[in-house]
This record gives sequence, structure tokens and C-alpha cells, in this order.
Amino acid sequence: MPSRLPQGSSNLVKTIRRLDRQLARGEAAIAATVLLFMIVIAAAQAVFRNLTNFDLDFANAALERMSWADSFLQKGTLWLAFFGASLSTFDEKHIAIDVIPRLSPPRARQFLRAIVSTFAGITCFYLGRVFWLSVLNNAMEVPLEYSMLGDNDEMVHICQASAQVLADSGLSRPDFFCGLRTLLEVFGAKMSTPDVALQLIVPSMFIFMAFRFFSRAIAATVAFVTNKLPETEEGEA
Amino acid sequence: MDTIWIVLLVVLAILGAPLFAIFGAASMLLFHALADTSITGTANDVFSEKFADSPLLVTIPLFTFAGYLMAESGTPQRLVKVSRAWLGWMPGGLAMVCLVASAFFTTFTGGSGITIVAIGGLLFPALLADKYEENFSLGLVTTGGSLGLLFPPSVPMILYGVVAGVMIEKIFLAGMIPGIITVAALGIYSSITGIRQKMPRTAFDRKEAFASLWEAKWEAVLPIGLLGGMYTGLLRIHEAAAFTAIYTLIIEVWIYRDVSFRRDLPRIIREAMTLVGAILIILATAIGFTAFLIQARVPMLILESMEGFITSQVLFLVALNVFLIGVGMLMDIFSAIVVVVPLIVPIAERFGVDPYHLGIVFLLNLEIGYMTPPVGLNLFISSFRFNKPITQLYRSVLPFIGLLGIALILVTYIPAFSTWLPSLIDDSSVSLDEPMDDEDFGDFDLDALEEGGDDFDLDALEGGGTLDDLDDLDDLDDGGGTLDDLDDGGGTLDDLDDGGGTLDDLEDGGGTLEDLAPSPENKN
Repeated sequence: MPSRLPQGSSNLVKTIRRLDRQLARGEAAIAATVLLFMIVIAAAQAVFRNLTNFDLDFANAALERMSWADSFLQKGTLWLAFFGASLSTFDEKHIAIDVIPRLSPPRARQFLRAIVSTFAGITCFYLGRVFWLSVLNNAMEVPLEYSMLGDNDEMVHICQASAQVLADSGLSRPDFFCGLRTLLEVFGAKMSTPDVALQLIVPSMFIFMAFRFFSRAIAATVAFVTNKLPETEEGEA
Repeated sequence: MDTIWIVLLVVLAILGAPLFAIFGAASMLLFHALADTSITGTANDVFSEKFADSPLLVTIPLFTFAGYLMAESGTPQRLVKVSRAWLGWMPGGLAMVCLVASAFFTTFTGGSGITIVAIGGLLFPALLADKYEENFSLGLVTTGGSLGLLFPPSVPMILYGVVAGVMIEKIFLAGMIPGIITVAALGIYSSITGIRQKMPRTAFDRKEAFASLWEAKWEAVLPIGLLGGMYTGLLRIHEAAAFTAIYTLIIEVWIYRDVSFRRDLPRIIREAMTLVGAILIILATAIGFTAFLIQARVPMLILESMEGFITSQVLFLVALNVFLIGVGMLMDIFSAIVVVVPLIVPIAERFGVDPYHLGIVFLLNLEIGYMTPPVGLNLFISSFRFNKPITQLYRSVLPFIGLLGIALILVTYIPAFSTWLPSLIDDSSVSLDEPMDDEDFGDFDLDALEEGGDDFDLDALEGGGTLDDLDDLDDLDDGGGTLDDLDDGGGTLDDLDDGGGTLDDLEDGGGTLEDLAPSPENKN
């Protein structure tokens, strides 16, 4: 059942709704981009893999260069899953046993919606916390390709290695990842690899979904208390 | 977990709380009660091959996208036209059209109710116009909503493959004969209804038949290309999914021009990904829940409690059917798969039930559950779409449930229907895309790797990071690398140590290929 905007809700609630709708558009755009890239990459991988059977040099080289593709597809699926779940929250289309809400009168439905949204919000918040700790745990392990011997003969992350150490070892710093790593460190997430950094989507989206559920709970409570019929379709903006 | 929590969660579920939140809350509460286990460790399973790193998971968004794209295009109309031209001459022809078109469509849309809207929406008025009884017509289009679940590449089948850890190519084959039995049973019923009610029959028009087929040619070749690609080894499962997606995109946007890339595609992707998110988040949160059930030895406890009165495979299958129809009535198919399959698989194994047979029995039960009163999902979709009271839906589906029940009995008690086709596939020829059992690697050892040739590319193993890169051993040779690292060691794998920690596992595992699969830690 698509959610509806209750009449007479405060300007603040309306502003949050507008912002939420814009965010949902952004999420949908990211999901679409990731999906289209995934389709193209998986198809290209299949083409090159089959061409290698004909021993074509360019196909061998292309396949070798696409060694990141499987990881991309897996992480892409993870991102799609959680952006999709967040959109499901926005559209209130999560899979649920919704016989009772469906058969309830409108006001009682708002009451049920307030209860289950609050519960789902609290659960998402705690799930976000659990997955945050889980990702931080994963990030503690630095694989060999991301660690090197530093100036003081101790292992340091490649992003923390001095220019001299990097020059001596002939390695180059992954600048984009290191920039992102510095940014994430501000939030207390010291990421070891891009793969682990991409896992942050799970706790982030759970926390985001928690806020979304709470905003729905507030809207439903307002609708229940004021007993005003919903007036505008929200759902798919 | 205290009884009060269990009661609270059950009440919240009944009141309509999202099921992922129920599973997530249950997992956290259950693990909280355990002193010696941390939920953080179990949560990490979401990043492992149980979820994020599963090579099958990627197929779910790709196939779902293709299904939504077809639903939004002219595919349903073309499909009905071609089915009508080829099947309309038979007694109960239009009903047959509905069955075949629904089965084909559900195959790609995964029984998410889209079939009822897309095919049922087209055919329900046509059935009434042809003077089919309203209840028969309602029952038919509602049944059609889950009819194709046993045909590849249905998403519930893929999900079963992910959760049960069986070979996806084999489970696809296992569903073929049972799927045909269900369609045939309903087809015979439709024919008898057609004859009894003296339904009008259209004469077979060869010109019209071929013209309709020509019009739908791009869609008609899709199943052939998809299955052909997979079973000849040209396409691995996720590549087949990508090809289905890209092919559907090209034909619907640029050939048929039914869908506008700018205007329609963003909305279609959004709707498809909303469903994908709703399915996958249940899978993600249920991992913790099922991990607890396994850890608490729940399957074994169920087994022990059953031992007194369930003494044979046949009795087990009877109990399974009764249990699963109950599950199918209460839960949606995706939640049922992720929660119940891990519990059932070890028990079924004890009773000697083939895992592919089990999968088909499982899916067929849930297919029936989709339309079983009082809470089968398809009943509500039909009620909403055709604006009919839910109680009328309950009456209309009963004969269809009875027929599918007969099909279920046949499929359950004659295992060969599900096990014969998969047995024709040679295990060794199956790609390594799917989770493997121990026996799949049983007679492989690292010596074979050493002898594999001078081109073994260790970098590919490390960098590629998944078993996909191995595909089969011939592909290892194609890596274009050198065996230098291996050769240095004079033919032993001790020298693999030089490659660093990520290859340690090669040594530890006692020489099975399983150990070559990089653990999540290695990948990260």
C-alpha cells in the first residue's frame, strides 16, 4: 500500500517528505546506473571468456584486465539489494503478512502502520549497529597487497606509507581509495581495502532506513491522532 | 529468547511488520541470549558466499529486471497472440492460452504477481467475453500467477539454489518434467471445461499462426538462447542472466520500441529493484536467524522428535507436504525458502531424499501455497486487480488447488520425475558458478594442479578472487601466466608460500580444490 501524506501535517514533516522523495530519486538513479553497468560488464565478460577459446590475444588480454569484474558484480548486487530495500521502505513495499492492515478501516490502518514502522525503525537502527561493527571488524585485517614495511620497519597501510617508501618499493598509492579512506576515517571507519569500504553500504542503508521508518511512524501517528484522511499519493515520485 | 519476545514478534508479524525486520530482530534477540557467540560474527556471513559473494545472487536483479521490462512492454500481448494462434483451435483453447502464456511469463517474472496483472489483465476479459464461467476464469488467471515457478530461470528456483547450495543447472532441469505435469494437468481440466461448456473454438489458421510467431520471434528465441547458452557451457548462469537482461533491453527499447529508454526505463528499473531489495533484505536478515536455528541444532531436534512416528521416506514426504502447504499459506515464497530450506535439507538428507527432488517438492508446495486460502498472496492480487471479493477468489481457486495437489502427489512420490533429467548431467561438466558439495571436489588434488601445464596463472587466482576464474581446469591453462612460481619449488606447492598469506589456504586444506576458493578475508 503506497503511503499517503496526511492533511495538516506540519511544514517540517512536509519538508522532510520532500527531501526524502529527492533522496529516493537519487537512490533510484544510483541503482539504475549500477544495474546497467552490471549488465554490460557481465555480458562483456561472457563474450571475452568465449573468445579466449579461439586463442585471440585481445580477448585474453581483455579478460585478464577484467579480473575485477566478479568482485564488481558481487558488490554491485549488494548495493542493489540495499538501495532496493531502501526504496522498498520509501514505497512501503516490504514483504509482510499484510492481511490485517488490508482488512482494517483507514484509521486503524494508520495506527498499525505507526506501530510496525516504529518497530522496523528500531530494528533497522540496531541492525545498522551490528553491521557497522561487523564491517569495522573486517577492516582490521589488512591484506598483503595493502600493507607494506614503513620507515620504522613496521607494517603500515599503503595509504599511510611515505612517498619514499612507495618510491623504493616501486608501488603507487591508490589515490582515490586513500582519499575515501581519509574521509571515512572522520566517521570512525578505518577501511583496509575498497572491498571492505563497499560493505559500508549495509550499515549505512540500515541506519537510513531506520530514519525513513521513523518518519513514516510519525506521519502515521499524525494521521491517526488527527483522524484526517490521507490526501496525496507519495509512493513513486 | 523469552517467550514474551517470541509472542511480541509473532504479533508484530501478523500486524504487518516487514518480515525482514522480524527476522533481523529475532536474530539479534537470539544471539543476545547466547553467551558464547557474537552476532557480529554471524552478521559477517552477509559478506560471505552465503550472500554477497554468492555467484548466484547477481542473477536475481538481472532476471527480475528482464521480467519487469517484458511486463511493461508489448510482450504480454504478443505472447497471448501467438499462444492463441497456436492453441486457440483446441477445446478450452483460450484457457490453454492463459496457462501457457502465464507459465512462460512467470518463468521470467518469478511469481511476484506480475503475471496476474500482465497476462491475467489481458485474458480475464477475453475469457469472460468467450463465455467462460467467471469463477473458472478467475481461478485460472490466479493459478497462472505462480504456474511457471518450476521452469528456468525462475527467481525462487535460483534462491533455492543459493540457500540449499545445490547446482543451479541441475535444479533447473529437475523442474522441467514436474512443471510440464502441472501445466498439463490444468490444460486437461481446461479442455474438459471447454468441451463441457461448449466453448467456441477458432479454426487453426496457419498463416495467422506463423505471422504471430514471426511478430514475437525476438521473444520466442529467448528461452532457447538462454537454456542453450547455459547447457552448452557458453554462458555461466550470471552471464546468462546478463544476456537475458541486455537482450530484453535491446529488443524492447530499440527493436519493438515498446519502452522508452529515457521515459520508461528509470521507472521500470526502480520498480524491479524495489522488489529485488525486498527479497534480498529478507535473505540477508534471515541468515542470522537460520544460523541460530542450525547452531541450536533445531533441525536435529525436529528430526529426533519425528523419529518415533516417522519411520520411512514416504511418511517423511507426507509430513513434508502437510508442513509446506501450511508454510506456503502463511509465508511468501522468498521468506519460506530462506528460513525453511536450511532446516529441511539436513532432515531430508537423513531420510535419503534427493536434494533436487526436495527442491521441486518444496517449490511446488509453495506454488500451491501462493493461491491457498485464506492468505495466499495471489488471491489478494487477483481480488485487487479484477475487483472481486476475496471470498469469491477462495471458491474459484479450489478446483485448481485440487489439480495441483494431484500433480504434487505425483511429483512427491515418483522422485524420478525430478531426478531423471539432472542425473543426465555429468557433474564434472558443470561450471563452478554455484556452491559445491564436498563430493564435487572429492577426487581432485593439488598434484593435478601442478601437472596442469606451464600456463597456470597464480595472479589470476589471487586477483580474480573467485571460483569463476577457475571455471574448469582448461581455463586455468588459458590464463596466459607462467608456472614460474610453481616450478621453483621442484614440483611441490611449498613454494606457493612465496605468494604471501592469501595462498596459505592452499596448503592447509589437504589438497582439495575447495581451498582454492578465496575466503572472504582473502578477498577483502
